[in-house]
Amino acid sequence: MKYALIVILLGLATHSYGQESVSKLPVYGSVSVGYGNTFFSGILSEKEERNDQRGFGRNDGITLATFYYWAPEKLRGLGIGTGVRAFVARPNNGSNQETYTYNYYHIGISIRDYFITKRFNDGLYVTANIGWGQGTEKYSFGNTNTREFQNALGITVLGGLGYSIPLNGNHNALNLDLSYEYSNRNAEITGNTDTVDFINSQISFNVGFTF
Amino acid sequence: MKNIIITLVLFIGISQYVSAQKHKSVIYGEVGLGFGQTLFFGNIQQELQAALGGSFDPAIGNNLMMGFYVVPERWKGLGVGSRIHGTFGTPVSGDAGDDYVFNYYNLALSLKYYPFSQQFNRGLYTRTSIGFGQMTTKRLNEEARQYIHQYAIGSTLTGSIGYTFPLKKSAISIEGHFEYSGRNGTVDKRGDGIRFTSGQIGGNIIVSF
Repeated sequence: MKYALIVILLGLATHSYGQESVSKLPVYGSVSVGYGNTFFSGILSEKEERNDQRGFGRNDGITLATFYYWAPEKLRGLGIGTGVRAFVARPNNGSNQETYTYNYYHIGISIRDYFITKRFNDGLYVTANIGWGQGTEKYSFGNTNTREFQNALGITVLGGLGYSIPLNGNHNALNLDLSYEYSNRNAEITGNTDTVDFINSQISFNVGFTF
Repeated sequence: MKNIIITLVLFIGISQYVSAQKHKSVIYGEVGLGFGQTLFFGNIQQELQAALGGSFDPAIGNNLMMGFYVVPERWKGLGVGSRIHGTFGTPVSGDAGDDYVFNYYNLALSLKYYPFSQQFNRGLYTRTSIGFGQMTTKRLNEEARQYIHQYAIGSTLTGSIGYTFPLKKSAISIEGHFEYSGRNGTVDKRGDGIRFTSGQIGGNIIVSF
């Protein structure tokens, strides 16, 4: 998967070689921060249920994203890009000095489409990502001074709906978006013959700039 | 947490700058591939031995990077932007018979400067990045199905020098870099704040546009 992603990224980059115009390619940068909630499935959900019974709270935290998009006028509001999106969990504290955190990120390709205005960086848009990345789980048991770590690698897909408020003549914009992402990563865990599916989803509200 | 706050403040600072521009900001995107030799500094070898058991030497890793830069014309070859640089380590055999993998990445704020051409994306350049990210070390024995992980989170400072060859609408760059990372790990039976200091010397081939 890693090499497939690399090929896709290089293909996206080298696409620029075929352009006829001599002007600078229309590239937009985008950064955002937000608040997200993680929802678990499968074995992670079972852990969460056990945690809930022992006084743990929500698995929430901060999202950080940085992407850039190639968005020529001929694509009429559509941009194609690449970047990274990360989630830094707020440590989830339970009883008995126990703490649980699950952080994750994905690097991927992204599209953003201003399907109503047909102008990139102006108005309502939909966005979608597909990427590859890592999830890292940590349990801390304060009473015994012990920790348990797991690591998972896999695919993430994301869909979002947002609105860009143009600033200074449509060239820059303030963005607000609501996003949903789904990840299925594989973890190698001691004692398990096969990899274990670490599945989670996330709903987040994000604020950012595109310029 | 401190690093996250710094990153957020700098992101907001860049965003406010570009939002104040009256014209479309000139943005250059880039993606790159490369390799690098992981370096251990300080007593990281002893700390990893305590965290994972056994011992191993650092290995060569494959690099993947991408980023973008805001490049106002009046800055004469200087760009400021955001960049992620990740390294996927190749497995190495340790002295206890198990394999070890060493992966790390950082999401950085970055300055890229073309001091001689004074024109972005052309000629000799320097790059300085300061970032935040994670290091993951894994000890594995596939036959026994035993896996031990160790994480550390912290900051990375990277200095690079490279040369950009302009193409029709894009450019290809070759660069060498040195990175230095100081991260804090939480180690079983020992507690938080265990210092892992590492680095990398390597090179990347980059397409920018």
